[in-house]
Amino acid sequence: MAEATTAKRAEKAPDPALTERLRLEVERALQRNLKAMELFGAPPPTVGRTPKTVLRRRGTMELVHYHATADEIYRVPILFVMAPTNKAYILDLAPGQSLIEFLLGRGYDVYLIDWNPPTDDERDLKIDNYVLDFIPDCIRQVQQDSGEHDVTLIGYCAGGMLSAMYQALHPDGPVKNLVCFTTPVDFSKMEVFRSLADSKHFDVDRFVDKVGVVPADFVVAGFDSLRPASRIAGQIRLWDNLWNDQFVKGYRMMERWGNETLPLPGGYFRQTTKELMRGNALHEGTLKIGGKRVDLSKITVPLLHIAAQYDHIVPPACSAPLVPRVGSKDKSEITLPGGHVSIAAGPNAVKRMWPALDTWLEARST
Amino acid sequence: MATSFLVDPLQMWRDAVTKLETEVNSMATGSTKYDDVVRALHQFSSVSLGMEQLLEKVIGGYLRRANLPSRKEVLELAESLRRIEDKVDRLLPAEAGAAVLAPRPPRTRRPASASAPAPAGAAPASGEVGAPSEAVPDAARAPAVARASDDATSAAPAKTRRPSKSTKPTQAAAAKRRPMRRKGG
Repeated sequence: MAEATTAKRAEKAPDPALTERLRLEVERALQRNLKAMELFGAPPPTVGRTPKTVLRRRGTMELVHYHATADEIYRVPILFVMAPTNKAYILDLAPGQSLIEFLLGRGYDVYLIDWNPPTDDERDLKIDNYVLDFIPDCIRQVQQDSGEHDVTLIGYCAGGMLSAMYQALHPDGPVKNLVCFTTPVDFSKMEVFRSLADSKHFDVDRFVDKVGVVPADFVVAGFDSLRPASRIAGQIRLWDNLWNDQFVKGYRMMERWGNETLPLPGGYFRQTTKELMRGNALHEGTLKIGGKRVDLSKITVPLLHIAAQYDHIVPPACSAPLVPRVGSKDKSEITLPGGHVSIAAGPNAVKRMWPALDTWLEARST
Repeated sequence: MATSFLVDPLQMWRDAVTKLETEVNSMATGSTKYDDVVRALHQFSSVSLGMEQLLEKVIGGYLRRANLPSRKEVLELAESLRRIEDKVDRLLPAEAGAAVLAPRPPRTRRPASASAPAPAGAAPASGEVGAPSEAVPDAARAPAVARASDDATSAAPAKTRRPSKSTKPTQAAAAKRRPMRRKGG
């Protein structure tokens, strides 16, 4: 009898794990409501806080120099080239989440080319302007400012592509080392972008003539078309994690960065669509910049290419030809787990990419 | 948090969201192989762009009648101001900027691996990071990670060598330029 009563009680007694779970969920639900209210009135998250000086600003181009934090720095300064579609603060999101801060701490002298939204006057800027004018101009500025002839060029995404084009056209120039992050070369592997750029459906000349500067919304829509459900899913996850301050902070910084996607000069967009997307000219070796053929095999400086295994924008297959094509003897490729953005910013980057980059750079920066 | 005999409905829901996201993304990207889908996307994009431009035109007309500047005009004005500021900065005497600058750190840093013998399993030396088409093995990365974290804790806070958080191009930048130096030169 007593045994039966105990058994009955045990059946009725709530599962401690279940009660704990319920308590946690109720607490989170309350937190979600409170945090959601806070979120509505919250100012945009602060990003790009590493102290810097703007050295040169010319239209869409802006060259900044980050203040050194080490007592002794490497001889060769680093010049970052950001993709013209996005702001460079993805490399300097917040203290502890900043590649720039990490490199300064490791003793590098860091310069960066960031891009501002192009004005109507800059509608006709082409890839040629970036490769033959902006990058060389900034390299000259870096040389003058640092007093060093040699420069390490690091390009991210399209910034890597522009840097590689520059180096192919200036093989005897001042670039000592070239580092490319997720750099597109074989555009035939960007299947969705190629479909969208197909001349059967898209008259790029008519479009560019109509808009002049390609609106940021159009650029965002292009990126979103690669993962159309991810924006909504991301918002659902945000709601689910509203109780978690760290998650919300990270989400808002990334969201801000995504929302601040830049408009593109019509000339640049036209050239990218026609020559790179449709003609795959960089991969075919037929691309001409300033009348000169861009031959990647002319690149002979030490090269490091860092690709992301799960990159949906520049799939590894799209960037894979870079290393085999260049003529450098000292060349390496690292494929790290991560996506197009998380390879440079985020916990994975902190653990994997940054130390790998430092290891490669330190021996080549003296 | 899941108990041994009860499923977690919230976790199931989270998994379902992830699965749905993956499937929708995969389906959507796959559908761009079809001409009709791409044509429809472009038509939609073209219509929404046209609407946006029309709206901009209407609002622009209204603002003109109300004698107010449009956002575009304000931005153009800001750009003009910025250009003027840049020119003024270039006209400032070089000494004005140079005065606020302290000397920069010397460019004499050597890689840590050059001064200390590498421990067994240490990060590869120059030229060995990631052989072509190979990922850096975790074992090789580990010391670099440790070094990075050590450095992060030991690194002194940023010393104010310049006006802090300056976001304007200054003559100071030009003033501190020095004669160029090649390695060994």
